[in-house]
Amino acid sequence: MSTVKIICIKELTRIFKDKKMIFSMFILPIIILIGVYALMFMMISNAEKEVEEHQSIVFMINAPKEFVAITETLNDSVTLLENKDKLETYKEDIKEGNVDLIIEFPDNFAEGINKADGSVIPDVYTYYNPSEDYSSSARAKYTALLEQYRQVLLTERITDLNKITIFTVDMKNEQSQLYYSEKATGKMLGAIIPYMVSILLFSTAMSLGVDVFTGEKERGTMTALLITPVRRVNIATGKIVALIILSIISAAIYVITMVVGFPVLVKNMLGDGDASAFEGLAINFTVEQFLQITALVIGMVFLYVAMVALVAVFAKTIKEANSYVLPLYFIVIFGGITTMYGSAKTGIVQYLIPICNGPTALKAIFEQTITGGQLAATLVSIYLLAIIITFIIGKMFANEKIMQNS
Amino acid sequence: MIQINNLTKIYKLNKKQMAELKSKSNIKVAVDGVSFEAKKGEIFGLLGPNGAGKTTTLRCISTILRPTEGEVVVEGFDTVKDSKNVRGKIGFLTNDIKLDPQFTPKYLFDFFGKLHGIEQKVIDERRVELFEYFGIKDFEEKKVSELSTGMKQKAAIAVSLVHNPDILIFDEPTNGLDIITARLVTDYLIKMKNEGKLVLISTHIMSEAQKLCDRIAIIINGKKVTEGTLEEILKETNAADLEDAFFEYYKNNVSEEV
Repeated sequence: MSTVKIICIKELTRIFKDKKMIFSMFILPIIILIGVYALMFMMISNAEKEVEEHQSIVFMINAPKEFVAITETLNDSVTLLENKDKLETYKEDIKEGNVDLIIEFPDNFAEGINKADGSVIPDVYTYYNPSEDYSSSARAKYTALLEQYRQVLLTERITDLNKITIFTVDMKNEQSQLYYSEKATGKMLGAIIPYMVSILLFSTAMSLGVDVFTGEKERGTMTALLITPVRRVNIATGKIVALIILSIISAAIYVITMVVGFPVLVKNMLGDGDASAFEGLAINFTVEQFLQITALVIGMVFLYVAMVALVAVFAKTIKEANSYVLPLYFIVIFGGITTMYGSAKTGIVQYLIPICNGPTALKAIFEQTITGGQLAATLVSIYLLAIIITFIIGKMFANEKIMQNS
Repeated sequence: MIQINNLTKIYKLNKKQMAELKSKSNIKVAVDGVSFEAKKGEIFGLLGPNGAGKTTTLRCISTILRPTEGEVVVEGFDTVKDSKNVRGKIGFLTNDIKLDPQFTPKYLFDFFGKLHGIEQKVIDERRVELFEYFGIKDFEEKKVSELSTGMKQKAAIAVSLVHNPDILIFDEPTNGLDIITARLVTDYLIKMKNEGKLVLISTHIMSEAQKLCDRIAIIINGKKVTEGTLEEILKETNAADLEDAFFEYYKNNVSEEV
């Protein structure tokens, strides 16, 4: 068995034989992820329900009887006022959140609706507070009622509304939206998954890499490895390969939880109507896409692990290593954020910048827009940099100043 | 055979280290032109007070440190140019090297055996023999973190011998051990010598050196002040025992430097 494999197996055994480690690395994140989403949707759902169930407090000035009759279908607290003497006081109440909506019909409202020549067009004023959910909801509700009332008045005036309808748009067209579900899925996944994958891969590499390198130095167990007849670069490679495997497993668990669990959760929490955004999504990669993603993700994790290992080997203590790794983490977050907005990049230069190019290429693969040149540029730059860093780490392993803390 | 020619190890100190050592110079000469030869079939002892340079010398031999000047040759292999071959020949034990606390002695024994390229069958045989000898069998499946200091030391000794090395380099081999385990270790070193292996130890315990070592080199302040058999050293200093002889050298060399 090669020494790289022996060292890799030992590092994997360290994690997989430790129940606490398995729980904290692979199970706890799922529980937290689902828990956070469930809590988030529950809170949104509860807030919406609360607004819906709220009895709106509405003041109406000079309201016509027909409109009052329409509003009686709602179970709201409607106060009818015959003049606007206290309007300013009620406006203050709106700002305070004590009143949800004021509807002021003008004095000439009855005159206006009866004049069919358009010489008098009454303007109905509404007052509401957009920073209050109850107020915004009441405004939307009563605007719809006013529209309903207007339709009634129009029908009275014109009898047949079709006479004033010149054309409609998509009233009968059921196939207005034309798209490939794979591309739609890709667009949606491309917006968030590359960023998430990039950060998750790095965070696992970060949490384990510091212990695997600096931890071993600090505990004094690294020297035991250094006095075996194994090439230093093989020791470094064995540890890096183990970290790559662990980071991929961890990120895969996160992504599967998100991609599979998220829509299910949304449907359950918000009901089918609100979850319609997820309808028609087909998580269905082609073999080519799958191979591209595999090669890219392995490259990304190889680079991230090598970056973490580089600073972790250099650091004397875990505390020191963590302070070195943090700026790298911010760089990775920044690289990921750039992919969240806008369409996939079309040039080749963006695909040559390591760290940024990983998530960018992943997004382009999801959206099926990546070219062979772009993918090649990404893979070559990522793998090349990761290999160079690994060799530097191998050299660092041979440096007594770096490897011997005392 | 170990041949050391004019071994010098110099450290550059940072300000913090200078303050700790109360030194005005930013250079610390840990080993200063030490030369000696240790042959197979003997126990060679490096004797000296704490900080004399014994451990640094052993670390240079085991390839962990590079000499600043001079050369160290182990079984014909230079420790800088052929460090991989040197590491295959030696079994090195020092208090600074710890066993991974998350694993069992059995796992670590097998792990290091594989790194030395030994077949599993041979590893199994070696494990049975060494675990039996050092009484590790009872706790071979316990994690190192759960073991007592003595148990850890025994496990570390066994692991360092997994590849049946021709040369054993033990830094303070009985340090921290109870009297029974200490005897077990010294008896094993004698057994190894009798099997024709070279045993190199460092110690500051005079009685241990007197009983165990065929030849002794005394190191004070990084310099070798004498080398020879116990009889030769006693004769040279006209002392009754090794402790008296050591103080004779210590008095002469430290006062010379002052």
